[in-house]
Amino acid sequence: MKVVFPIEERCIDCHLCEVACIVEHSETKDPILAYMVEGLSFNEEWSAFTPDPHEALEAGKPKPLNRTRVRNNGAGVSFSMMCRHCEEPKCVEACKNGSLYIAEDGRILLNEDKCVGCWMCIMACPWGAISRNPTRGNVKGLERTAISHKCDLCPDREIPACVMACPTEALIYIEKEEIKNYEVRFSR
Amino acid sequence: MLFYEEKDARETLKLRSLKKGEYHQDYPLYTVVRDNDKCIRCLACVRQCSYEATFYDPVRNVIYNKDEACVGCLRCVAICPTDAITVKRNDTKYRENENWREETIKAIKKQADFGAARLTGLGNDKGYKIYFDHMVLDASQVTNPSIDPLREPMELRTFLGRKPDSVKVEFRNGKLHLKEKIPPQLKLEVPVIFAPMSYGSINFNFQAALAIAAREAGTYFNTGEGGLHQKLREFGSNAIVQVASGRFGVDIDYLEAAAAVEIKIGQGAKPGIGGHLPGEKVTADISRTRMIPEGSDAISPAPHHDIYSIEDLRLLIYAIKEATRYTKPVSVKIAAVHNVAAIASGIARAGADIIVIDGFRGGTGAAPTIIRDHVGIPIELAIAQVDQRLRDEGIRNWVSLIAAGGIRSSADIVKIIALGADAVYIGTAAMVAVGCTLCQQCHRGICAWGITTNRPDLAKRINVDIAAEQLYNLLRGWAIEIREMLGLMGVNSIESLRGNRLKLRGVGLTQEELDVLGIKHAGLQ
Amino acid sequence: MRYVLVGNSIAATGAIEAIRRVDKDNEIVVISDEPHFVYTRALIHEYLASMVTEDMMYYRPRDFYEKNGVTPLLGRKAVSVDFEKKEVKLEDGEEIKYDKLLLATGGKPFIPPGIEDLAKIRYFTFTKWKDADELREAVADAENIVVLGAGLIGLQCVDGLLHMGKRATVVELADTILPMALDRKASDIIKDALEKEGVKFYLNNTITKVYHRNGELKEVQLKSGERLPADILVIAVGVRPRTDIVMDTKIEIDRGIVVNELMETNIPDVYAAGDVAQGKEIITGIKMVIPIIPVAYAHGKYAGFNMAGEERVFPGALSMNSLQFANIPVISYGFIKPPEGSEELTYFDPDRLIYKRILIQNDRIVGALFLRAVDRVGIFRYLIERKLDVTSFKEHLLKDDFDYPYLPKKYRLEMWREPY
Repeated sequence: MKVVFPIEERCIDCHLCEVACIVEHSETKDPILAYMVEGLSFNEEWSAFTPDPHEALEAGKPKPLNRTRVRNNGAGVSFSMMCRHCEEPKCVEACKNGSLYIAEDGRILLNEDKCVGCWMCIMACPWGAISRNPTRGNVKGLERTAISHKCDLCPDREIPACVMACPTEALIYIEKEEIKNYEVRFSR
Repeated sequence: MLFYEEKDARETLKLRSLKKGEYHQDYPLYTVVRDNDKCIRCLACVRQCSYEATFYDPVRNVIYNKDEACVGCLRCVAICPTDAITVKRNDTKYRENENWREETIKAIKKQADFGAARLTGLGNDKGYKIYFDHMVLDASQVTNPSIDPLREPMELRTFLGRKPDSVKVEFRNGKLHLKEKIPPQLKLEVPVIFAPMSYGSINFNFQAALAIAAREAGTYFNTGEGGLHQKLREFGSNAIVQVASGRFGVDIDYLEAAAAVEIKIGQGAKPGIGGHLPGEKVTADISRTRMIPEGSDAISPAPHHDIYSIEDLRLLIYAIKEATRYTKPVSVKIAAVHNVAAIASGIARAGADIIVIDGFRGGTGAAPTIIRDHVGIPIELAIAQVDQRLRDEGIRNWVSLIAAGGIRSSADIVKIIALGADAVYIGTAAMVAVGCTLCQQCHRGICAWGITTNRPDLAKRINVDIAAEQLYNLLRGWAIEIREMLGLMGVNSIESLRGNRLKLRGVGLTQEELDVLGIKHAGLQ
Repeated sequence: MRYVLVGNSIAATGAIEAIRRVDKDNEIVVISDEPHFVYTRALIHEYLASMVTEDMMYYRPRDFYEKNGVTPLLGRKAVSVDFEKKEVKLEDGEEIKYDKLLLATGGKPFIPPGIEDLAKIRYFTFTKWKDADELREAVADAENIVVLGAGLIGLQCVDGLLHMGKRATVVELADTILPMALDRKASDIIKDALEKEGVKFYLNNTITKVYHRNGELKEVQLKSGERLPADILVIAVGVRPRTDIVMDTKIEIDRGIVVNELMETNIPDVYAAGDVAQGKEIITGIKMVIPIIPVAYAHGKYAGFNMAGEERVFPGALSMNSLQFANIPVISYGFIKPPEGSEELTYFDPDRLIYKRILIQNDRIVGALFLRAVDRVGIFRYLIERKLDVTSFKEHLLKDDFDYPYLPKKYRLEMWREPY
């Protein structure tokens, strides 16, 4: 099965993968509308935690959500990390009520109507690939209960949007088995 | 990335100061205009600006620019996903003055503040006459048929190196054999070589891309004076290695690894002066490659302290030839200066196989602006003179001539070859191919396009594979164009064009200039 | 060949899914005393307050048994196992033959001894679907609800009741709430928040006697001497492995049914998984009962593979919790009490109300707790489970953006080479 694999030697920390992800999963699929119009319906309280708790908190403005996230150590190492669609997914094992499931093609998907926002998956996923989606809560009386939020490998696309958007080809769409042996030869 | 924080407000929102050393008696050269309706605050521009000219203010939720820091490199424009950014020349101008131009005034003000030589990167940007743009090519009509390169073979292969005065052959066993061994040659599938750019002035990624592209295209890249990284030794057969006045990274393995060795005497952008890589840029990797202690300044003296004459040069050339057992051509690179023809003749007689003439528009990683802009002569004139001189002396076949400094297109290549060059070096054009926007900040080491920087986060902006492909594409495209141009001139090999000045005509040149170039004016048969 | 699974919850589901990855043909029989299709017990508090629909309670799609070729025997209680004859005996007398047996009977609520007159009243426990239904009915016009135990179950019950508009009183023996999942500081933060919503706490205390009138609860007597008015008493001091059906057999039982790293018990062809099983813990290597969902599923999965003949060694379970009370999410891993010789790194930001605590022993992380800042903390699970030496990046551990790039390159490469 093919997944998105980040090459840290090439990541330039531009976050365009996040932009592409947001746009791809927006209603309008237009970057300006996705950010400036759709983004405004976000829950103020929860904006404090997503996509970056502290950035957004300081900004006081909610931002739309991305399913991949560029992780950065502030010293030149960065890469965009998203769901690795594990064969034995820890998140699915931890999910309280089976909202996360393995689709027939091997993708790990979330049943957004069922998720109760217990964040067992956030706890279980060692890759930090699942985030909280404050736009939606399924539990009555608990607006706080953001549901989970994760990469779905862009079902409408042949190649995920983030891979297409990456200016340095730091994200590649690759068979899982090939990742182990993948080497970037000349980048350092 | 730079964020506004209360305690640092004074830093980031710094008010313009008139304090000495803070350089604010001047207006910014560029203004960055952001279309607020299009800006989605993704902050890609903020993250990408390495010149600290772009900031995000979360309090007002706006991105703003410190225009005085903007160098007009257009990285933000390129990365913006919604095309919200325009970088404009500042409308503010000093009062019109043909004599005291803006750049002159700005230079004085800056210097009055800092009291040092102004540094810059890249090549001469002054408005000297560009002779390439005053020469046109001939084409075949009726009486001499043109050749269609799509149907007829068209030879671009070029051999660089000393050619024998005559070819002696003998029959042995019914076959033709050369009687004398041909001296070592470089074989080029396109007459374009990547110019010397050292590891240190450019980063590993870009040099690796040059190496890959050179191998793919069947040509060479030049290591510059910074040594050859161990990881790139496998590209040795496509590398020309330099021995410069600092002798950085030179040992027998380095010479053995290469296809050819080049003695660097001068550089077109800064003839007669040396180089200086500050210690802080000498990282562990660079120190290993240059074979100097980490953190120590890498100083290339202005002259080679063992070369004060043609005879001295001959000693070094033959020392290298001995060391490499006469298997590699030795090249000597000099800047184009007034007596370049006589010097070239001396170099040929000193035993060099290739002479590189670097014109005054050649680029540099760092040079004093005043030298870059005012020293040296145009490559077109230099090549014409050198070629003529070597022909007159009957030693043109002793050396191959490489023209460097200011080659911008395949037409420039065809013209310079018609003036007498064998091949060309391209440096700036190669950088432009991988993103360079000629902002001339190479000397600062924080190139936003990741070319002339060794900061790890910035160097990553060059993806080796993409860059190699771009460079290869450029060479491929130029090769196609060169074939077309050869065909229309009725020539089927680049050999036949070399020094064929009849294929050139001058437009808008004085008789003096035409004489120097050795060409006729357009309109004359 | 027939697989028989006693119990029908997370561990059993894990086993079914694992067996079916190896063995598509042989029969699987699931026995459960509850009549429900496989559901999640972790949501009964939200079900209690009608916050989630019935559909959201079900752990798998409704065609799960059919698709996996499972014969469910629901609402039929298994009472004993005959290991000699390889039979499970049901309450109704039927005997089910097995070739491979999985005991995934889960836990049962623990009723503490020493509460006088408890037998004379109707009290509630809170672990099953039925409990939620019964409690909802009972609290409809109750005023004073007392919950004994401030563990996860007790507080979830309290939380559910809060959403029904009922403010409960909590009595807890320990001096903090959620002692299994939170340290004192985090516990205090949650307690304060719950108190603001009207929950009353009596810590360091317990119920010693109940007062009733004709079996109808009126008051409870606390150890401290106070008497609290009470209409409803919920006992939620914890669960114990439900080992009834194998009591008095040769099977080895310590706190739970002891299993080896292949999830086998000491009886051939008998496996145990989930809250009833006592398996290897990953940090210490000691066998213990860890009654949480991820462990139950993992137990079930490994048991399933081994039952179906694909040998897989269980690497060990990590205790972890994800809780939310009063709008405050908390995630914790591993040790809560600092083990001997451990170093404690803490970060507390009162403005953002963010609290983090990391326990390091012998240069390895052995425990981590995050209050509110719970995004992308999974990396700590990775660090704990892989037992990576954190010395070289210790100063970054508490940073807001701590993540994989802070790890040394060697670890990052290993991380990508990890099979997944």
